[in-house]
Amino acid sequence: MVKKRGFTMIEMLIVISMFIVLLPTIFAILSTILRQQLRLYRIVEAKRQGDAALAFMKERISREGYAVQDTFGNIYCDQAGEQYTTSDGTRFRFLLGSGNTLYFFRERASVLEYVTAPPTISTSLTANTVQISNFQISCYRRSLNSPPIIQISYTVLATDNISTISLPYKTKVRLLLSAP
Amino acid sequence: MKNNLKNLTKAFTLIEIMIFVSLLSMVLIVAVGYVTRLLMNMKVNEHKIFATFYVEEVSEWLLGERESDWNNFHSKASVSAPGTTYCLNNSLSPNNTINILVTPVSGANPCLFTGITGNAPLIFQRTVRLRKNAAATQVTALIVVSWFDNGVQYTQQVENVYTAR
Repeated sequence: MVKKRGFTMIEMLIVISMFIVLLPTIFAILSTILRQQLRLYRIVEAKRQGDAALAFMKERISREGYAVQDTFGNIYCDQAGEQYTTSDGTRFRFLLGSGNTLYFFRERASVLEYVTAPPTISTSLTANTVQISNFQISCYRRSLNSPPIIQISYTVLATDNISTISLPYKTKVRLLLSAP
Repeated sequence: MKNNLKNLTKAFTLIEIMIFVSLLSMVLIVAVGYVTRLLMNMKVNEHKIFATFYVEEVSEWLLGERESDWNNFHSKASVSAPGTTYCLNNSLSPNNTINILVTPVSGANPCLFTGITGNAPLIFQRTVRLRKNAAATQVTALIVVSWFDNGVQYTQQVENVYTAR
């Protein structure tokens, strides 16, 4: 008699059905872990970039910011009680003490930029892994005894396919000197 | 012939099956426990990053308020220990001044774990405790953000000293 060894149809069916139940469960767990890890990465990235941009702008203004000017050369916040707000950073220029050199910060295509002029050179403060929105910059001066205060606010957004993380940033810096 | 067939029929005994099932279940339980702990830790880490951000947000905001108006700033602090504690669960908008700190936290006005308004997950409690010296030249602020994860309370805090300028 020829010895037939092997699994029967029923055995195979049982094994396959066990796999059918087990595999999706394992993959579901793996995907949950990966998704959570990705989310964590996005949050860390958003915070890192937001912090870095904020630190840079604060440092820059507090070290070399002498007066605020718009595109037409009007000086703002040199008078007591004066206030000036804009969401277009190009209309909020910081003058350096020396002559016509200036710099400003702007939001362009969801990226925060630092621009110096002349000659015009723009540097990105954030990478395109995060989006910047609601950029706003303003200044006000309470009295002639106190320096003008610059207020900057923006939101850092990091999106994955499931949810959006938003971190609202805001800060206030005093101008180095009053307007010339 | 019949005898031969009988000898060929092989099967596992009950003991063997039980050993196999118990080994398998032990491995599975360990694996599931590990995965659960991993996911919990990741959630805690995620919340910790948010908490750090909320602490820094207030720290930055207080610094700005100090720059704007020192007299108003120190009027919110008290000289007597431990200081005046305020609940700061609302999200800070750019035009919020120190005047949004109105009622100190007390038994009648508790600070709940309702999160920072508009920013999920709504599980955080944020307080700021302000204390000044008698000459009102220095304010010490203790910013605390706490939250619960699986019944365990976590806290992220920072203490800053602001001086008049």
